[in-house]
Amino acid sequence: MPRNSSPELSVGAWDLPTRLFHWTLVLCVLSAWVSFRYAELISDHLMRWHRWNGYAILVLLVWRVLWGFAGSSTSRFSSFVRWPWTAAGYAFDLVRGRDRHFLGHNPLGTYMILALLAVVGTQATLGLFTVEHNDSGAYGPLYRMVSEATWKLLSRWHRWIFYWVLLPLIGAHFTANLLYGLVRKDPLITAMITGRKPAGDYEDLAEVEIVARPMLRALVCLFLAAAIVFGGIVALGGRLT
Amino acid sequence: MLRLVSVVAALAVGATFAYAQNLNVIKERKEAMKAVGGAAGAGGKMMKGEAPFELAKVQASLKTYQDNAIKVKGLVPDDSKTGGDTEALPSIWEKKADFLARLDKMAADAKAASGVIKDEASFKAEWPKVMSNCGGCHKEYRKPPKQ
Repeated sequence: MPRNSSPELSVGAWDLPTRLFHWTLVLCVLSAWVSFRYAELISDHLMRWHRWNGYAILVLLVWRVLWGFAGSSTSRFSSFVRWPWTAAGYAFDLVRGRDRHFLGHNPLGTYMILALLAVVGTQATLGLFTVEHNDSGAYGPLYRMVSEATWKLLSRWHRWIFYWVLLPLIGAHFTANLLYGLVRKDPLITAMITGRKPAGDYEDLAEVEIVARPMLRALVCLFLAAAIVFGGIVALGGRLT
Repeated sequence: MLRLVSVVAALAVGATFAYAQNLNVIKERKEAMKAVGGAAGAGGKMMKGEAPFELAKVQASLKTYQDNAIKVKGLVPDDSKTGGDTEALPSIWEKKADFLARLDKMAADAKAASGVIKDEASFKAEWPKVMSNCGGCHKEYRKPPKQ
């Protein structure tokens, strides 16, 4: 397959909103950990930063789900969600060294993306029910909805999932992307920054079809996502601050 | 033979004594921290609006904080690192000066807060500052909570 990274021979792979979503989510996950680990150091005794960070993550995730229906071709679920056996077949080909290339998410990557979205979403949702275990007065907005035994359990999961599920997943995601670039010369990380990939014989799409007025459309989705998240919390009886 | 038996017996008694002393310190330490936890819980309920604000209870909690912070400083000898289901991490003994300084800060913060807290508003402003000593220290020196 011809590979060339010069702009003339590259094709669009990701729209700008998808890329902004990806890197904002990376920053938010990082800052979620920092704002918990160093809450005392930054004198954020009630972990307000951590809480609003969690809301931001929830808004981003809901936005991504909306964008999965309203976004450009490579971001749409209909273009990249495939059957598990398709992913298994791709994994088998990968191990055998058969060269198969996808412009958007490859069939195996699809499941990593879905797993990451599900786990980050679970983690952020658990945070809504979490109470800081030292009685500092820091708590998620919805912990009153459940019994003490339940919020204690959910608080434990909130900690456990980060270290034992989310971090390993992030590690696997990052390593896989790095290896695709280094071993298979498929610059996935660069593509998520520039939005472009070398032109080539891709199985899924030749080039991304960007939706009309992507940023305006993304902003409308963002507004909707914020309304769903904040409206949902308030509707369930939670106080945001 | 008699001398050998005496030596073994003496060693056994000594070892038992040392072991028992170790467990006693761990037990005392755990009780002190439990008292702090109880005091934290009382204020925590008021912070979350689950219990009405009571100045006397808050002041009693802050006194418990000060007393036990100082007490725990004397309850971390080198032979109390393990045993008795302790949740203390070895890092306490690796960075002992920092650990002891944190206890001093916790006592000082509790004392300062007890002078400032006069009503519910000042309680809500000051209490989290004292409590953040718990989280900061536990992240470094205690096993993750089982809850």
